[in-house]
Parts: sequence; structure tokens; C-alpha cells
Amino acid sequence: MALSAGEIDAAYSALAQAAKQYGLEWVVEQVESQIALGRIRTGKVRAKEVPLRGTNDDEVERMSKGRPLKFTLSDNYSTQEKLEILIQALEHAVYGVWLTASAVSTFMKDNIPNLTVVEFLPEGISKKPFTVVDLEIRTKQQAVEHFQAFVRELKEAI
Amino acid sequence: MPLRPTLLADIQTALGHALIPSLTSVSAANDLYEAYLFGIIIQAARAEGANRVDFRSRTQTNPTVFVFRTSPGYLRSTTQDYGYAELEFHGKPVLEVHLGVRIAGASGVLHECDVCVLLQEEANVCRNSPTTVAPRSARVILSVEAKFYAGDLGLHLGREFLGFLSDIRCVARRMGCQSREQNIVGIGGQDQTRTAFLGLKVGERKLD
Repeated sequence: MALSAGEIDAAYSALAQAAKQYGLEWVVEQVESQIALGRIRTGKVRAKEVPLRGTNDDEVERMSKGRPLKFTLSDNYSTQEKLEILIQALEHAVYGVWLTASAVSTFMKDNIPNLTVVEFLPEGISKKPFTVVDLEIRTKQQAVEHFQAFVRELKEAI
Repeated sequence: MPLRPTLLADIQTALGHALIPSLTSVSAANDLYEAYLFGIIIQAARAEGANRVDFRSRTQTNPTVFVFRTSPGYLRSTTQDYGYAELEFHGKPVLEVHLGVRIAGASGVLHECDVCVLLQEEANVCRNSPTTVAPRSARVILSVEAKFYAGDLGLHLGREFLGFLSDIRCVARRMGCQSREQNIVGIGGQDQTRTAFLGLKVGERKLD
């Protein structure tokens, strides 16, 4: 049996809150922005049915042509889809970033003899520097896999 | 299937353990992705027959500490000993691969290239000039705009990239994106307007 709407809402809130707690506010913001935009598609709308002006049926003007016209449409995501979008985004932010860091670290290590560290440093602006430490990335692998396993379980339950 | 009572709490805990604290910000994700594309370009150069690839900084070959630039800067800068790669193909001018370099568009406006490949001759002029000089976009072989997104790509990214394209005269201009559903997105060429807005998936390559 699929999750109830209440359970899905609770799961969304819990994940969004956890993401914010661990510094992934940007993930939640991007997800919310996407949800607000809706699912974009093109489709035909019978213009005759669209009031041009006014709200009272007796007073509205209507397009005279009755043939369907092509419009860009936005469909609201369902609660289930919203949760799926958040889950995918979190996976991307956790597994995707880990995988990227891992690839960068491996590539640099394989190409530069005696490389000790890869640093990311800004120039002339206040921005937090960081380093990519191969050992740190390797030690996170198991934790990333645990996270993915739990997320997979949640996706199966939705 | 009912939700296991502790599953959400398990995910919350696992999330905390899985993250590398220094890499949770959106800027860190983007910077890492730029470095990833730096590696992709070097791999592509090797695949295309580059006979020499060297990793350098202003002061060293094969620096033991390799520094990637995370904010737009000039090649002449000595603020940090930023790293770059040199590429050489038989009978061709030597090239350099840099991150976060400002280049001059046709209008004279300075743009940031997240990842760029340019002629070493041009880089040397800029590096050794007594005044701060930006490389000319016509001397840039490849410019890549890198975006790491957890959700879908926003409309503004397409708009910004099209503005960038209109002022940059380099040979190849690409937008590389990692987003929820797209891994590597190449944009450019004749149909660039449409692809910039649709974010078409054209290929996926991995470093290892």
C-alpha cells in the first residue's frame, strides 16, 4: 500500500528539515523553486473555453475561434512527485558531490606525482576555501552507501 | 509498503554522516564540478592525441599542493600559486587549461570562464605583462560554463549563457551541467538557442 498524503507530507518536511540542518539549504531552495514552477509542457487549449475578460459568465468575452491552440502549460506536482523531486535532489547533493569529489581527487592523484592536497582558494573575495582530501572522501564511502540504501527504501515505500 | 517507523530518522542520521562538512555549500559543489570538467578536458585532450600534458603552477611543475581558483581572477595574479595544465599536440601551438579566469569579450566586457582552454602564447602575455591584461576571447579555444544543480536547470542559466555566447568569439563554447536529471550537458553550435533553454542531454562522460 502506498503512503498516505499525510505520511508523504511528513516525509517531505523531515527530509527538508534535515537538509537545512546539514547545510543543504540550497538544495531545498532549488527544489522549492522547481516545484513552484510546476511541470512545464506544451499542450493545446481550446481557446473558446478561456474567458478573455471578466468573471461573470454573462459578461465575459470569449475568443471567437473554437479550434485548439498551442500553449505552454504548467501542471502542479502531486505530493508524491514533490517528495520524489526532493529525494532525487538530495541524492544528487550527497552522492553526486561525493562522486565528483572522488573523481577529482583520483584524477589529480593519478596525474601529479607526490601530490599532497588539492586546494580550492578564492581570489580577492570573501569565500570559504576548502580542500579535497582523498582519505576523507574514501572514509565517507560507506556512509554515502548507507544513505543511499535508506533513500532507496523510502522510494520503494512511496 | 508501509513506512518503517524509524526510516526518516535513519535517513536524517545517515545524511549527517554521509556529508563532507566542507563540501556542503552550493559554491563548493560548483567549484568541485569545475575541477571535474578540468579533468574531463585533459582526458579529452589525451584521447585526441595530446603528446604532452603537464600540471603546473606559476612557480612549479607538478606542484605538491595543487590550487584551483574558485573566484574569477586574472592570469597575472600572484595571490595564490594557482594550478593549470599545459597541453601540447604535435605541430600545434601549446595550450593551457585554467579555471575561473576572466577573459575579454568582443565588446571589451570581462567575462568569467569557469573552465577555459587558451593559447599559451596569449596566457604568457597576460601572465608576464606589467599591467593586468585579460586574454582575448578570440585566443580562447574552449570556454565552459559549469553549473551544479540539485534540481532542474533554471531559465536564467539559459539566458545568461546566451548573453555570454553573443560576446565571446572563441572556437567552442559549452555549458556543462550536473542537475537532477542531467549529468553532462553540452551546449553550443548552430542550435544553441534551443539547446540552451531545453538543456538537452547530449552525452555523459566520467573521469574514472
